[in-house]
Amino acid sequence: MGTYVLADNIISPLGNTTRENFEALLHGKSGVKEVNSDALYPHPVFTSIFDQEQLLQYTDFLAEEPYTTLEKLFIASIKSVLDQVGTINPERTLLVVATTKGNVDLLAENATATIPSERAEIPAMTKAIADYFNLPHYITVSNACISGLSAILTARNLMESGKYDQAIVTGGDRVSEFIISGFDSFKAISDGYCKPYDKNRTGINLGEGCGTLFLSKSKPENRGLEVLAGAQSNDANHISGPSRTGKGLALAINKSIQQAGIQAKDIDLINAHGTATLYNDEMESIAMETLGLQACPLNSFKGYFGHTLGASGIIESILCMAELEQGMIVKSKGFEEQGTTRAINVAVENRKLDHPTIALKTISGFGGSNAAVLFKQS
Amino acid sequence: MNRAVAHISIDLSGVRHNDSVMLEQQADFSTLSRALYDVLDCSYPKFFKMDELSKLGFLSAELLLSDVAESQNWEGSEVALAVGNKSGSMLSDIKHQHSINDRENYFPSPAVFVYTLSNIMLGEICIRHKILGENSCFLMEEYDAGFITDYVNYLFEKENYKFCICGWIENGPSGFQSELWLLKSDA
Repeated sequence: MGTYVLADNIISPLGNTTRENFEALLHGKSGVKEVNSDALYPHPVFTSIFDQEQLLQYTDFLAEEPYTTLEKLFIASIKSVLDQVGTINPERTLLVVATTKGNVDLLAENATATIPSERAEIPAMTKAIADYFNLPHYITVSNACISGLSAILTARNLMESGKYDQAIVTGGDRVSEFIISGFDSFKAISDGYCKPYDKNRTGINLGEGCGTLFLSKSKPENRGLEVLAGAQSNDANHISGPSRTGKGLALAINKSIQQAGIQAKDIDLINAHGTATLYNDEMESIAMETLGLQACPLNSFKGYFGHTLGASGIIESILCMAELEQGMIVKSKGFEEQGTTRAINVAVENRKLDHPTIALKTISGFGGSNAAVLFKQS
Repeated sequence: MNRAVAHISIDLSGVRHNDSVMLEQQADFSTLSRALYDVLDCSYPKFFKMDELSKLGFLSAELLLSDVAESQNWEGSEVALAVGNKSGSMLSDIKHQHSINDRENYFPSPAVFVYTLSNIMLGEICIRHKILGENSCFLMEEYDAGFITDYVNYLFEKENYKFCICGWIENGPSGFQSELWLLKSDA
């Protein structure tokens, strides 16, 4: 029994389908730009955000509906995968929502009064989304930056347990003054385009978007992508900084490898977290070396989307699987010169790979959490 | 299968550990948390930097594991956490929002912002009890015992965990409540 991918969708400043987003990557396009808007933040900031016109276009069918922008993005993304899949049985379908901050912008003093402030509570947001589609079974995962991968694993767990046959797994977050000011207070935001794994990296770019996967226990005829294995771990070291040893991340990867019954050398490509902070990227390089993965082609998508928080695990997993389907690895945007003490094989250009079958997606975040998922293409 | 090794519950009406009442009704969370910290003889200075949600999570786990000798030297990678919660980090969210409401008086702080994530309470528990396994925070309108039970059973059966701390830790604008179990694998 497996967990197969039936459909997927990404809505980001780079497009509102997986295909548009993947093609943007192939052409080296990035959603990140310098935004100088006092309404967003008192200082100019490099971030990947939607422009208003784009948002209206992507969610036009909801223009008159009582939803926040984030809820509209979730609904539009879920609608896209349901349109691809056709009829579903709601009783046997679980909706898993991943978000880090949900509708936190409703707490701001200048928030629109049209949406009740109770929807700043994440379970109320999830219920509004589930109700739109008449889905009776739903759950929200809020594990900070790793939420997206946690959601994929939650869906797999409940499906393998026999509770559900299918799952809609969606992740989304918006860029708001709330999160910019918070990350800025940590001095974690780059003053230019982020440069994951590069010698001159100075921090993250934040980004917004939404990604959705439709998972099923039955293998579709036209696709062979599956969630092969996955595990989560904690560093038990520090709540706001990654461990120096990479042991927590290595543990999550190792558990995934064992669960899949494969060896590290069987992994054909890695899409890592690569936030472009000094400590995260360094920690990842140590974990990869520990497991003998230093030669495996690796990239980070943060140079294209910024860090989209709860959405990142889903958006990046979808694109990582697109790499498997296309038999290639995409350039790790922003990387020029090795900037980690352990050498890792960061992709410096779009490159064909020889029939890759297994991809590793990793992620780490605040709270000391790590997650790893292995995807297989057959 | 698995069995419950310890159980606690904390709310305004008091603090219960397995079958005994540790503290009677308290005036508010701040009084309760201070009293419980003293009863448990914690001596953990980091506690005083935590937000209200993490304080409740920390004390709940501390009490849950207070009589469990195995937790002193367990293999951290064999222990998982799966907890439900309703308000997320709303109390800290409001605090952080307050610090950025006024551009003339702008004071966002990393010490507050880090707690604007509901899973941080689990990170605090992991640090204290050297737990290296999965730690998941699920947001739900009310405690869904069926979901948590199904999820945890999977962790025991398919991911070979030996221990799991699970239950409910909520501390939000409309009050606080926690109920935790320590489950142990029979395998």
